[in-house]
Formats: sequence, structure tokens, C-alpha cells
Amino acid sequence: MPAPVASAENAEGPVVERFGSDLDTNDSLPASAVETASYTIRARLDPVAHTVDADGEIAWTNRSATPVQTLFVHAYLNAFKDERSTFLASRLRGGRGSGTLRSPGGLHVRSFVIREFGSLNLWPLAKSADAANPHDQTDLAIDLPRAIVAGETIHVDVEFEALLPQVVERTGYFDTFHMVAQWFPKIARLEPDGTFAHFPYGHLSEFYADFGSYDVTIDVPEGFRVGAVGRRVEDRASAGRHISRYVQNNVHDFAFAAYDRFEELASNNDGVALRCLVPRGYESVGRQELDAAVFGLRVFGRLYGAYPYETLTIVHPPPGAEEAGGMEYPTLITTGGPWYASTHMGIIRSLTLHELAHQYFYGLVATDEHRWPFLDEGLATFAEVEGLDAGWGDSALWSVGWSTGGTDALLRYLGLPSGHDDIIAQPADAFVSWRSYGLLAYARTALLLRTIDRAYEPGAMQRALGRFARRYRFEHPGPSHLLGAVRDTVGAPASRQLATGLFDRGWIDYAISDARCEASVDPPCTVVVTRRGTLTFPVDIVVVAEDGSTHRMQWDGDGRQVALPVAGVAGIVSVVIDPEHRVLIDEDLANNALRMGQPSRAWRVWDRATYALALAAHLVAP
Amino acid sequence: MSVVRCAPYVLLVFVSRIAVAAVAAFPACAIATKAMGGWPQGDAVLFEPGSMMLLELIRLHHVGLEAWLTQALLATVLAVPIGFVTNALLLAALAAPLDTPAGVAARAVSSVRTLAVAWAVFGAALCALACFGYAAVEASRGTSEQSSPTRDLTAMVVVVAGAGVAIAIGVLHDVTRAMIVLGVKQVPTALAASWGCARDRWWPLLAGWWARVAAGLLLVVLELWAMRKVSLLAESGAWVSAVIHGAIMLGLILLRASWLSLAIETARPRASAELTAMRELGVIKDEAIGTATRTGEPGGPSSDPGA
Repeated sequence: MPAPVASAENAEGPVVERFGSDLDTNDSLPASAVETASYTIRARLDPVAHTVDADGEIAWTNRSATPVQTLFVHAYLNAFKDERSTFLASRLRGGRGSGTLRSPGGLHVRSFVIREFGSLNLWPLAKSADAANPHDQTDLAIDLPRAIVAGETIHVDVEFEALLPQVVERTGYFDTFHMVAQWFPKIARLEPDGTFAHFPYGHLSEFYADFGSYDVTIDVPEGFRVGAVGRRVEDRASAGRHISRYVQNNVHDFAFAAYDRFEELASNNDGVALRCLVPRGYESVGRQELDAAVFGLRVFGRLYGAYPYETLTIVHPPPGAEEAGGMEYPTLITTGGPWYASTHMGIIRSLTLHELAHQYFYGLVATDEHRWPFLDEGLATFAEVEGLDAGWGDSALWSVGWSTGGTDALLRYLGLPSGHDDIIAQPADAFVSWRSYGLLAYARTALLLRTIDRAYEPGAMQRALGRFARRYRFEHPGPSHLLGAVRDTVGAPASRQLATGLFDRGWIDYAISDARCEASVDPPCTVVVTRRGTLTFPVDIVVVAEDGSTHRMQWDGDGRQVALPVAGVAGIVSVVIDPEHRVLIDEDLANNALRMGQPSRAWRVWDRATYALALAAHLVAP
Repeated sequence: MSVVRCAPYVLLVFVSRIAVAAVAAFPACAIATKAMGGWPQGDAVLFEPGSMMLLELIRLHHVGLEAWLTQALLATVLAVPIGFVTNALLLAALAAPLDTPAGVAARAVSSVRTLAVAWAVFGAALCALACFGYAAVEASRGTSEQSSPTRDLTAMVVVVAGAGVAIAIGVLHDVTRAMIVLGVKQVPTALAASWGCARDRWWPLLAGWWARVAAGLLLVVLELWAMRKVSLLAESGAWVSAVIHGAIMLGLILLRASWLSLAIETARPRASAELTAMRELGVIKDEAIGTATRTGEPGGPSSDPGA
């Protein structure tokens, strides 16, 4: 599918209203979302046939101002039906979801009856809505016998069987583990202008839906434990089966996991009951996940508004089902990582915080993950690294002997290789590779946000995201809303830089190009600084003089190259631009410093490399 | 005491090892100097908490660093002959601590070829063990490539068992080397003798080996601890670090020498018996027996055994 050209100008949404600091507290949070699509489902899992047999009711209201003549419904399990589905036919190499489809899946809808329209089963009328691939059965259009007028609510009786594939990406089974996601016919999100945001199940693309209430009764064989979206209001055994009922309002999706070898850990934080379901032998990892989630709820709740749900369920898929991990659903996250993961390595807390951050950035604001993946992955990555910094500082990612790894290092390492090769703010299916998607939508977005935060006012970006998350909770905002929040909180220049970075492949490289002193000139010393690229940030320059004094200057970044006079200095020893690394997105930090005369010899590197090689020789020496 | 008496040879091993490593490590220093030499703190920025500049160096210069790493590993392999010579000298000195440098050198020269053959034989055994171990680990994992506690622990049992065999091979190698410098110059005979010795004296050998390896591991851990304490940002940090690393390497080589000394003393009676038997059979000349007894001891030769 040809991707629309992304730019700050065509970022959807009206001109954003100005909003202020009254949105920095929880008092501003809305009590609930507008209910548009609510689902009541009774589901029975057959773990041998890997099917979910279900029936129920969908209550859907046309919240737009225009009549709806065609209903768009997502049947995403059909992505695993055969190789002709858009998902399987257009998978990109590398990354997740590129494994073999060992057993197919699919959604077989037996009945789709809109009560208000009589008893006609409309499902046989469903046709592919994927213009680029008519074989795809994940994005379907149903022409209705009559239009659903603005404000009208319809009630759809559904009966269906979900055949789960062996896990390829996000959903499916492995052995007796079942991750049941994207498993029911789901009405696409209706935008206020009366158009449906419908799209096929994609390799990189995630989801977008209307808010509603879910009431799902899950029937599994005895011995299976279930982790699901929402609050468990009923839990009983009956005739060799285990039946539990989960309800949740103000959410836009429902998924559950069932496994007969889950161990359950629990915790509590400020009224939120946390459950962590891990395979046997993963209890240590589960405790790390719970600790990280409790910490994350506190940090994110303070920054982005109180977590509004009573439960949070963490599911750690077993070996073989890793592709079901690292996903987010409302009140339910899936994680991953080896059973022996230690707290010295940050993989568990990093992944847990990332998925938890998705409760806000995608979950509560409900952005369009297909059209603007940076709004969920980028913002969640930013929240994740801010959380990691708050909890673990420079050791957030690893702490082994003398070596520690912080999030700045990781963000630069992942966010810079993509450079300005492609646009960050573009639809998921416009990215040409998983690597490009990962580096741009995740790491580079977070790198850009962190740069703006530090370059203008440390903490300001957190406040901006806080206002964005509070103001647009349950509101489906877009990029322009984010830019508005940044403009009002950090300032118009920051908003402009953000737009350039997101839409126009913005980049920057500060460098010290020269420094010289001539006694005959007043002032005698001058420093030449260069800004390469299209972004502009104010930056500090520190000059160390021959007399040992230190002089700090500021440059607003305007211009490509400027010669800055250094007052009160007769001779220069060294010059550094951006010594505190505020412009974290700077392409090359090696050229940020200049030492007059001979460069400093890297004795420490020589010493450590010599020791390492001598040690290696000691091990293999004859 | 043998190790103390052989201090010059221990130092020789130390200096040669550090020198080879320093030469092989220099390109990394050159790359880091080029990349970070402009910063006022020099390469101390690479070791700041969080490792941001360290990853920056790797990101910007990974091509050069990868090339250096390959070259450094090759240099380590090419330095093996130097290791043969210095180790032969150390072993010869440990076998006869009171010997003159010329005597030690003569004994080393006469043993070095056999030591190299023994090294190749035991190296081949270790390679075969590694191949077998790899196959066993893969077999223990079953058909699945996935990690799980059961599969990983099963694999770990295989690895630990393999490590145990590797240790036994290593100990046997060292006892064989002891036999060789004590005068049992034929590899098959030395192997048979060392096997008998190791079988009869397995506990003192194993205990001695473990004690020194444990001390060596402690030193390596101590380095990790010490480097956290050393203020790398201070001007003196580089030198303090170098001194600590030098001291730890010297400690490791001393422990190695101590272990070889123990292996030689454990092997000495057996080597003496072997040489006596060989003399009685007329396989070797009388003077070779002298190497199996301590120089200067009653009944032992008063000078270089080759004299």
C-alpha cells in the first residue's frame, strides 16, 4: 500500500487549542471514555484443537455526525489463514514475526446478525477491504441493508470459532500455552468525520479501536490458569472446566492467556492488584517484572496521570512462544526474557517498563498505532528510559564489574544508526524494514524527545507528555496534539524542532572546528563552532584557558558556522561544545571537543586492552 | 621456595606476556586517541558511569575496532612460540631451582620440542572434547532451540562434566610437562608416567590445582572490584589502573608457577623411577637421571645435568 507522505502540515487533527498547567494534575483527568464499541463474549478454549468457540453481543454506536452505510470489521486471525494474507505475504525480513507458519489460524464467523436489521446473517456479505490485496481477509467491509444513522446504537449477535495458529507474532499457541489475542470480529474505529480507520493485520502495524466495555467469560480446562484484560469478577470450577469472567470498561481491546504450567505471583500498588503469570522456573524473573511494574505504576502515574484500572496482569510466555511476548493490551502486558535473567542486566525491567508505558501511550490516549506508530512506540520508549533512569540511573541496563550501562548510551547506539534515512512520523506499513521501524519509531523518537527535554529545560518534556496524556486521555490524539502540548510546555522553538525531527528527517552534528589565539587581536582568542544538519538547539561551549580558568559561553545554534570570541582568555587549552551531552541526538560526539597541541593519549584504553589480552594469553598459553 | 628462587624466570614470563599484549593492544589505543583525544579528560570519558562515550567509540569506530580485535587474537596465537620458550625456561628452572642460568637454558632447550609436542597432543584432546561437548549440549537440548530451565540446566550439567574432563586433561598436561623437564623426554613415556602419577597422587594434585585456580579467580574478581574504586577521572587513574593490572597479572603468573612447581615435585619421584628403569633397560644414558633429582641435593648432581 503506498504510504501517504508525512509532514507536520498534514498531521491529522484540528489546530490544537492552547492548554496550560491545570492539566498537570490528576484533577483534570476524565472519569471515563465515551463508550462506542462494547463486547460481551462467552469463550470456550479447546487447548488440543487450539480453538476458541465463542458467542456474544457487540453494542456499537455511530458516534460520528454522518450515517454509516458500510461497516468495517477486523478479523485479524485471518492473517494466519494462508500465505496470501497481507501479513504473511508482506512480512519483512528480520525482527520479530518472521518465523514459519507451522499451523494456520483463522476466524470463522458463523453468525453476524444486527438485531435492529432483523435476523439476516451479514457475514456472508463481508468482502475484503484491502484494496491492495483482495485475498486478505483481515480487513473486511460489510455493506449494510440500511445506514446506521448518527447516534444510533446497533446490537450485533455473533457466533464464531477462532482457530489459533502456532505463535508467529503476537497471538497463537505453543504446546499448551495459548495467547488469545485479536481473536474476535472487531469493529474498526470510526473517526469523528465518519470514516473508518480500518487496515489489514500487518507485520509492523499494531492496532487502533474505539473505547467500550468488555465482559468476557472464559471457559478453559481445569488446571489451566488464565490471565486476561480486566477485573476477574467470577472464578469457579464446573464439570472439569475452569470458568472465569472478566469485565472492564474504558478499554479498546481484549486478550487473554491460558496455560497449564503457569505460576502466579501477586503484588499490590495503591489499589491496583498486580498478577504476574510466569512459566515454572521463571519465578525470579516474575518477581523482577512485578517490582518493575510496581515502580513503573508509581512513576508513570505521577508523570502521566493516575492509572485508572484496578488490575494489571503480566504474562511471561514460555519458551517457544516468545513471539507472543513484548505486547501490550489494556491492563494486560506480555513480557519475555530468559529464566536466568539477573538484575545486573536490565532486560527484564526495561521490557516490563516499556510495555507498562504502553498503558498510557496507546492504551489510555488510544492513538492510531497503524498510522502513527511513533506515538505509541516512541513515547513508550521515552517513558521507559525515563523510568529506568529514575530507578536505576547509570546502571539501568547493565552493571558488571566496573562497567555500567545507562539509557543515554542505548538511545544513542540505537537511535543514531538510522540517521536521517527515513521519516519517523509515517505509517507502520511505510517502513521498509523491521530495523528501520525499530530504530526510527522507537529509539530515534525517544532520542529526539530526550534531546528537546535537556536542551531547553530538563523535565519539560515529561511535563509536556504529562499534559498530552491527561488532556487526551480516551481522546485518540494525533501528532499535532503532541506538538501542541510541547509548544505550550516547552515552547514554540522546541515544538518546531520536534516537528522537524519527526516529519523532516531532522538531524544535527555540533563540532568544534577550530580555536586559535592571536595576541594582536582583541579579544585574542576565537572558537569556531559548526552546526551540521537541520535541527537547531541552544548549546553550551566550555573553554579551558591556559591559566586553568574555565569559561562557559552559550550559542543559540543559529547559523551553520560561527566564530565566537572568547573574552578574558589569552590562550586556550581545550574547547568542548555541549559538555553535558544535552543534545543527545548529536550525530558525532568525538568532534565535540578540541584539545590544543597533541591529543591526549588513550592510556586507559591501552592499559585495559593489554590486561585483557594478557589474561586471554594466560588462559591459552602453552 | 622454588618459585621464589625462580623469580627471574617468573618475571621473564610476566614481562614477555605483558610486552606481547601491549604491542597487540596498541592499535586500540591509537583508535581511542584519535576519537577521544580532543576531550579534556582524554580517554577517561570512555569509562564514565553509563558507558555512553564507550558505546560512542564502538559506534563510530566499529570497523577499526573489529579489525584490531581480529589482529589482536592473531597476535595472541602468533605469540605461542614465545610462550613455549618462556614456559620451558620457567619449567626448567622450577625443576632445578639451584641451577645456573646456562644450565636452565640448556635444560629448557633440550625439552622445548617435546613440550611443544605434548602441548599439541593435549590441545588436540581439548579440541576433541570441545567438539564432543558441543554435540552433547546440542543433543541434551533436544529438538527445540528454545531456552528453558530444564533444558538449560541439562546442558549446564553436560558443560560442567566437560569442564571437569578439561581440568583433568589440563592437570595431566602439566604433570606431563613436569615429567618432560625432569628428563622423561619421550612423549608416550611421559604421558604414561604422568597418568600413573596423577592416578596415585590425584588428591594432592587436584587440591593444589584448585587452591591456585581459586586464588586466581579471586584476583580477577578483585580487579573488577578495584577498577570500580579507582577514580578513573583523576589524572593518576590510568597509572593506578596499570599498576593494579600489572600486579594482578604477576599474581596470576606466580600462582601458575607455584602450581607447576607442585606438579614437578609431585612428579619427581615417579620421573626418577622411570629414568632408573630406562637406564636399567639401556634406553637412556646415566646422566639423564640427574634431572629427576634436585640439583645440589644429596645423591643429585652438583651441576647442570647436561654437563
